[in-house]
Amino acid sequence: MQKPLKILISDDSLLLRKKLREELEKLGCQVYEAKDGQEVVEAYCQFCPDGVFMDIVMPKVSGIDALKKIKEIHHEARIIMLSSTGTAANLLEALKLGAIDFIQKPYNSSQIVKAVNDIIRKES
Amino acid sequence: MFSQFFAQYILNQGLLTPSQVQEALENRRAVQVKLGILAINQGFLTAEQVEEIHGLQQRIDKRFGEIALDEGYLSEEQLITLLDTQENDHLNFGQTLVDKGYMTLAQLENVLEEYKAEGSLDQQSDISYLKEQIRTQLKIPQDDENVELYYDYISLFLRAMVRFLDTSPLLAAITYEHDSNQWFVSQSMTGDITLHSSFTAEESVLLEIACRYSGEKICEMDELAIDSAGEFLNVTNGLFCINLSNRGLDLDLHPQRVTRGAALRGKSNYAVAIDTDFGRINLVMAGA
Repeated sequence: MQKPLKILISDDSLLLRKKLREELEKLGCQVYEAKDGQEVVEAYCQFCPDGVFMDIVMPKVSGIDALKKIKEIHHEARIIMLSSTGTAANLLEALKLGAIDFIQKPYNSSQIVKAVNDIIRKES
Repeated sequence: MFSQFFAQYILNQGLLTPSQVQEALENRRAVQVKLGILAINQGFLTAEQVEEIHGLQQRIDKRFGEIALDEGYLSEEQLITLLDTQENDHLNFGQTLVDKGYMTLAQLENVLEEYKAEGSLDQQSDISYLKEQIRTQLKIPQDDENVELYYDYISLFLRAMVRFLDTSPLLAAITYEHDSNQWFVSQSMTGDITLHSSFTAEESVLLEIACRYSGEKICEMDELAIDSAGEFLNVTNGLFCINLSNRGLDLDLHPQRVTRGAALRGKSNYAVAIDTDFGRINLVMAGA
């Protein structure tokens, strides 16, 4: 039996974590959660996930700073940024730092399916 | 009004690689959008007609606009409209894709059409009946440099109510007064300009907003209710930032706050009351 994909989601919004967990579990993923940019770095080291969905605006450490830290720890980390502000500046910064995709809130299911497929493709 | 930045749409659709999108974003400001792409974007010309005019330009010593007029593809009015078009970030990005050979004109034409069809808030929620009301009911001194920004913000907020809360908002002609019993949801946007946005509502109204936005059954003002009401404002403001980004203005969103009894602090506050089928919301905005 194939091992489930391990996905770490990081967002300070309880609603977003709940909805995203439901979407990812429907796709057969094993989901871990973090509530801020500090927790997500710790959780990344602890769980070694196959991919991360991460909000940009988060307390303590921003998503952009957390992206930098995770990439320093593991350059090949597959990180998808989620944000309500998909502006040119945010998009450019996330891509420069090595994010593989950038999803605007509110997202739809097909965007999440595509992002998970991108993670699988990069892995294989 | 768009619900997603064009470059991001292209990335999400898997039409280009992240590094191609990054390169085009970095180069877009140095690019001048040509008449061909402006005309395709307006729906005045097809990509095929633009290619044909480019072909004619190689044989005839005339400008693009002159040939388009000679061939009867553009009217003088349309040409003037195109020449008066203001800078638009998503078209700069599109022009860069064509210049770099990442897309043909025909591919760009298709993707622009799909982008507009999928992402246009105007198509999803027609609030044209409210536009005049916004201007007459929001008393903003005309010398306030951000006056148009406030009108645009209210217009987008109303669309977001239609789209996310499934309600038909109506502006009410009242003067807003602070009520410390009401819930207060606020968020600041700072960068090229500053806008503090907030809304206040009775608890039952805020609960209904939380339920409708989240699609969850929420019966009390718990963490999920507070979070859902805050996310409604956060996502709405995110859409506003995208629209400003398309106009070349970059803003950062600060974390939203949901508390009871607080009020917006700003130099000059502007407010409108919005009636819905589940109660009243007071939308309050302030500049720097």
